[in-house]
Amino acid sequence: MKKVAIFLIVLVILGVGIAVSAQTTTPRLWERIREKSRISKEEFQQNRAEMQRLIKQNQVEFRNQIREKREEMKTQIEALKEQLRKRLKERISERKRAIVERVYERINALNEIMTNHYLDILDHLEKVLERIESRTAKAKLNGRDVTQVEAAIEKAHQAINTAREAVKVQAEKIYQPPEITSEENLRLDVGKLRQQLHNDLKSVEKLVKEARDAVRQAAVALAQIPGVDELKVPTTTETTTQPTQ
Amino acid sequence: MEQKIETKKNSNLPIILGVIVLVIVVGLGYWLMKRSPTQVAPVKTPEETRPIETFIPEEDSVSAINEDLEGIQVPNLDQALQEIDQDLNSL
Repeated sequence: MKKVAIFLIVLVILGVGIAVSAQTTTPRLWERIREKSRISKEEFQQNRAEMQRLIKQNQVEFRNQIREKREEMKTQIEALKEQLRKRLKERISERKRAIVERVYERINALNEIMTNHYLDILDHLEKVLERIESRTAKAKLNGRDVTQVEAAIEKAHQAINTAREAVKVQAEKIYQPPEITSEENLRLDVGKLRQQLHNDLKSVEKLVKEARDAVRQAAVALAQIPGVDELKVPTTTETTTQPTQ
Repeated sequence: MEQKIETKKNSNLPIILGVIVLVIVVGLGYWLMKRSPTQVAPVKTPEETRPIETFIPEEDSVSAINEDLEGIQVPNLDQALQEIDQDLNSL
């Protein structure tokens, strides 16, 4: 009985996991068109338009999630600012107090600015990847071997998703006010917070750059198909699935 | 009776000759008209005679994709931290 219960729990967890990943995964153009036995140019364009709409919708939903979280964070940040103000008032001169408060405010603001930049880049990369997929599908419909491009596209999708999750975590991060030891150590104490932000953003930046490189790799693989730019959707094509390596 | 036929033949002869001359004149004029433009037409260079290439790369072409990718720049983090660094230096 216990074993059955454990089995059912595991099954439910797996099911939820699959459902969640299905919601967050970007739809693939070839997945859509291969279900049809024949496809016309108009149908191909319709599928592409639908793909672009879904990508945009996912991006908007993702940003909305972050925006909602940030709204919640605002009151927390305000409370932390007040806490810092009180702590500084006790032992730091007025001029330096203003600087520390400003730095703390800028740390959280810069985090928002930079994570927004990273999201813009990832959204852009996703749009470029959709175009790579479109050209790849045209090549496939014309009977070209696109196995390597498809593998590169898959890697690029994974890299974008990994970077996107990292950006989300970073965007939803609240930096705690610096621990002030003394006025003499002020620069060092506040400097630690600056360094923390720098390190955090650097690791997210690394993932964003990896996503960009992965999309570039997919573009390079696509360019290796001879005459790929001249290929069009054949007037009426029978879609066939090629065996993947 | 024979004399009547003879005079009829003689009266038709100028008409026939006139038609033949007219046909020759019209034919000559037509030939000259056809010939004259080819004489004045400039000799085209191989560059000009080559058909115009109308291939326009599509937005999902490799060239357009690469161009777009080149434009994606990751912002400079150190530059973004400059204002904070200035404040830190004044502490």
